[in-house]
Amino acid sequence: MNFNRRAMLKLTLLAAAGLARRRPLFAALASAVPSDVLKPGAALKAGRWAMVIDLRKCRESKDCHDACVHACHLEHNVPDIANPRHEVKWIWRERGAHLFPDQLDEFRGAALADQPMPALCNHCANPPCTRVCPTGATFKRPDGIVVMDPHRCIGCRFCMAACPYGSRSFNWEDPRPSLKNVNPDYPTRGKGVVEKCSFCDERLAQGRMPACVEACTCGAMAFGDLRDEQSPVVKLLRENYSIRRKPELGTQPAVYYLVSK
Amino acid sequence: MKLYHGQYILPGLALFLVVATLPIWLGAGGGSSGFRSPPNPNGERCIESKDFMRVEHMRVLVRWRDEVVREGNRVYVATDGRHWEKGLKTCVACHGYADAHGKSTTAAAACSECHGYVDAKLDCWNCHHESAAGAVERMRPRVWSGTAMPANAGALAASSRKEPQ
Repeated sequence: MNFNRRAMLKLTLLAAAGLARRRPLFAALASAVPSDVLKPGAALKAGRWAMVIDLRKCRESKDCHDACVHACHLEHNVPDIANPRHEVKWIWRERGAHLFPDQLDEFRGAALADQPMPALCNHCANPPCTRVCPTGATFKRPDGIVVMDPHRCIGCRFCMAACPYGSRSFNWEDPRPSLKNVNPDYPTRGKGVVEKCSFCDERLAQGRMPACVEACTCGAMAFGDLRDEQSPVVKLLRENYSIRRKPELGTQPAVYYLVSK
Repeated sequence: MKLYHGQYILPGLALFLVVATLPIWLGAGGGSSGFRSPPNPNGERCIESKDFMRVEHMRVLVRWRDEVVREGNRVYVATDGRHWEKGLKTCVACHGYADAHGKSTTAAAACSECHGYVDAKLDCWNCHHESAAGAVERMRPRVWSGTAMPANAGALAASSRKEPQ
């Protein structure tokens, strides 16, 4: 009787050892993929990326024809869909009265109310969209960029409901038929996922500025690191009066608008 | 012990054994499973060995996807030291491109040779570009090379190399 129990315990131990042996086997399999990944020296890095849009300069540009919008949408294969209910946009023009409904009144910034100005994802420090995403498809990177991982997006559109800025669009239809020009260097999206501005994380990785900043004809857009005192955005924000969209919500947008006091 | 109806049972058993093991006998002559390496008209060596890629290519892609999108690591250092930009673009540059003789293939077609065979539905190409005119030329400067730039084997190697690595 005793012997039997002992034998069984031995067997159990042996079996456990055998199972444990499998683990290193699997680990070896996983590490067969070389994992030492070098970051290219060219990549632009920051503690917190931010954008400053000088509405005084933006206002003066008469002939830019929304260069920022077109450059972005061309670069990222954002479709031009006629049906406004299926519209997809990363950056767009909006009247000041719609962007800053609580900050403009008939005296302060009256001129801004009718001015069309660029609007895009604010890449909030406290992004409501990432908090509601059930799959972790949208998340905030350590450098402050709120990105979308379309692979994980299930199209629930919670993030669209959560975003107070209307920065997100849903692909109600396959965007490819609506693309006039296709940039083969950037993927399109599929039907059923949400998309938005990414602060051009793919360009930053190559050491390039965001497409809209590069395309702006009047130099109204600046992009840089809020944690770097030498950064152009910090200098602009120190020396000018700036406003942000819906600051009362506590989302802490990273897109600042410069206005005259 | 006597076996009744042995004249039926024994041949029947033999027949059953033959039929049951038929797939083995049919495959014994080196029968083809229908798999072959994806076409690679440019003759560039693949990022890793053929045996490794044959088994692990999807694991590599899934890992790349997570590392690029979620961690921002965009450069793959192969075991032989070559540097590659992680992404389907890198695959498409060879496997989804027309060769010098104008024979064109898309990466989607190359992939579906096997994935279609096992009835696996790939939705990569709903968003990623399966081919791009001039993709190879555009890829070259995008292959970050800290050490050895992969010798642009290109069309030269394509003529001498029968089978892609």
